[in-house]
Amino acid sequence: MNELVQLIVLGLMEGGLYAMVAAAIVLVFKSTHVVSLAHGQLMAFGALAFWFVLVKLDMPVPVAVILALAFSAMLGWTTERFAMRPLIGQPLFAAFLTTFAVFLMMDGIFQLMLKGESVSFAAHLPKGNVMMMGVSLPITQLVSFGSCLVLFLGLALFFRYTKVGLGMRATAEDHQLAQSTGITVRSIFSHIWVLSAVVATIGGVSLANVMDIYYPLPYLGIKGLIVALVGGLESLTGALLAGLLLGILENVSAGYLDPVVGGGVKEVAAYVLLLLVLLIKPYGLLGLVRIERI
Amino acid sequence: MRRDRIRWLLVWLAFALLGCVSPLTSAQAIAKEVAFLDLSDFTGPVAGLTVPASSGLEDYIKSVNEKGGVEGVKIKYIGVDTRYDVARTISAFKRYARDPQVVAMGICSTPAGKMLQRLTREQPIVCTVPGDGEFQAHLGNFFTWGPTYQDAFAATIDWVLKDWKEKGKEGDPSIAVLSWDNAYGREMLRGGKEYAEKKGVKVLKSELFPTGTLKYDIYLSRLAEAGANYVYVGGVDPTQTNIMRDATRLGLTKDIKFISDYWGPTALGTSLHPEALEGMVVVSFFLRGEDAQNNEMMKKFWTTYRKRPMKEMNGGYAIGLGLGMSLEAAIKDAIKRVGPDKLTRDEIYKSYQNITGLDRQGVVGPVAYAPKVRRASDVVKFYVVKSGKIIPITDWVEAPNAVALHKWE
Repeated sequence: MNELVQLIVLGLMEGGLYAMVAAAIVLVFKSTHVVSLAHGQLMAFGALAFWFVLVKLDMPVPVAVILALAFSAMLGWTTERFAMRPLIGQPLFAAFLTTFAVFLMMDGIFQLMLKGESVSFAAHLPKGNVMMMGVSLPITQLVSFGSCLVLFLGLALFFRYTKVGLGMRATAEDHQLAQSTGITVRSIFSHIWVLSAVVATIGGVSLANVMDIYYPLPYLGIKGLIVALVGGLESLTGALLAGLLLGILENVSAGYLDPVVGGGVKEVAAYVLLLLVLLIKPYGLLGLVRIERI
Repeated sequence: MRRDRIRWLLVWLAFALLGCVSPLTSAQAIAKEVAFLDLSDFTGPVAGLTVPASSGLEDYIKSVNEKGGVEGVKIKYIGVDTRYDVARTISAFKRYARDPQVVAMGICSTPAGKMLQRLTREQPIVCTVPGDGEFQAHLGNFFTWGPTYQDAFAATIDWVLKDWKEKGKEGDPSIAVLSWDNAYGREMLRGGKEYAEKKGVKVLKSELFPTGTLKYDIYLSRLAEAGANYVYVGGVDPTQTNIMRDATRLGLTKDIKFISDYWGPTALGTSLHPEALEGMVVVSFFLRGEDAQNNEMMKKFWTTYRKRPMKEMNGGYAIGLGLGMSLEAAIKDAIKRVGPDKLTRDEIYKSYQNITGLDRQGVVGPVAYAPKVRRASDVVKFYVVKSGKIIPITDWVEAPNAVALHKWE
């Protein structure tokens, strides 16, 4: 029983991290209808910027947070301005492929910078373990999970109470209608890429706090995409729910099925979940069902 | 119009001239220069090992060339990034190995080594590979960097028994392998398991994981559940460091002793999570940690060619220097036998089997290559991580021949 609780709790912690990456992808899709693959890299570069300021420049944590977020905002704006904006009015598939190209280009830079090594800032942040429900939990994971909950709460408030947030919601509903009410859709697109890059960075820093910055880190963006698809591409709540669900599923299935099938279950669990959810609910758990009038 | 024509004519003339000159230069070069093809993973999961190892080899070759080459024959170093990808390795091999100047090569991936062994059976070219025992079991043109993986595992079993006895524990100890899920990750048990069982050490079910794994909680929890006393950790640093990070966070390092294979913590790991690595034992065929920092030869090469502070030197640099010394000795032997103009792949292959006992200045053990031996040396050292430093806990000790215990197909 204790083993099951441990697997579930650790799964929840990991799931929270997936949910943050998924949130960034959902944000972009909600307003632009573009499925982004570039966020895996935005997340990794944000984490790398945080490490650089905190460890290399030896600055305090708040300064590192501010500078890393500023860097990621700039990265998000640059991606939108130079890679995505020229594609407005073009088929969405072209935009999707462009995000893939951005991912690959940034991946080359990321791999060259790390040279197969990894970097960590865990030593500069609180560490140790606490016991909860008979399970030993690393403080790093609790901090990361806490960041996830705060982030989702912050996003909910942002979309409900701020002008930009309301503008983004209006743009998500209908671009032309939003434009007719005085909202500058182009500027909303720009804002959304900046915001999503900032969210990706918070996810990246939280992930790196637990897993360090290593060459596979950007590929967790793919897992973020799976979570976004499972939860529903327009739903932030769906992203949170699907992230937690995937984390638990990965850990529990690997814990009990690995010894039976010889290993590797954790790596396929996400795809099995995606397949099952898409077969039953093609728009994801909480995604909008599109009704087309003929 | 006329100017354009003249321009084109000049371009064509330049090409024609190049065409006439290049065969001459390459023909001349064959006599005075041989090449070493290094198909290495400068990016990807094993880059943490191969970047320093290849740097060591490249620097050693530079030093040989600066002294006028081996008896006047210079060595050209060709480095190709293969990204731990078998297909890329094969493709690069086919592209570069056509050149007869390439008389020897090196790769750092066990899966690629197994594939290349088949491809080079007809026309053997010396190929250095990390430590797969199959190359010792099926003698051919593949030469390992040190004792094979199973030999290192067997040496570890001897160390485990000694440690178990010293701690005054009763019964037989148990050990489990936690490593990458590929040919390399399983290799140590082919002969290593037989050795352990012969010595009365229980080998538990291995936990294997993909190379890009970022979290190890599940595998570690299962090993703890299975009651492992010792865990033998494979992978290339930072894999071991990350495993120790998670093991410490789960509170497992108190009851389980973690031992890393060759590619475990280096300067990289100790700079990442020194507190998590505390107490981890490492088996090594090359000098690392404090030993490497204090070695005169390594100091000289690192500061001359890399021009970086010694604390930044990764122990893997020693591997490259060792490979360089073997290459130089083999070329020297071939020149002595057939002269500098007949340095073919066949002759270098014969020479690699002739350099038995070559002293490599203590950076790695003396060469063990011989007509019936493909392992580079037969000694290993044990290290422990203490206060962020990798310090030796044994002198060079013999690594038992575990390859011979396995029934090979």
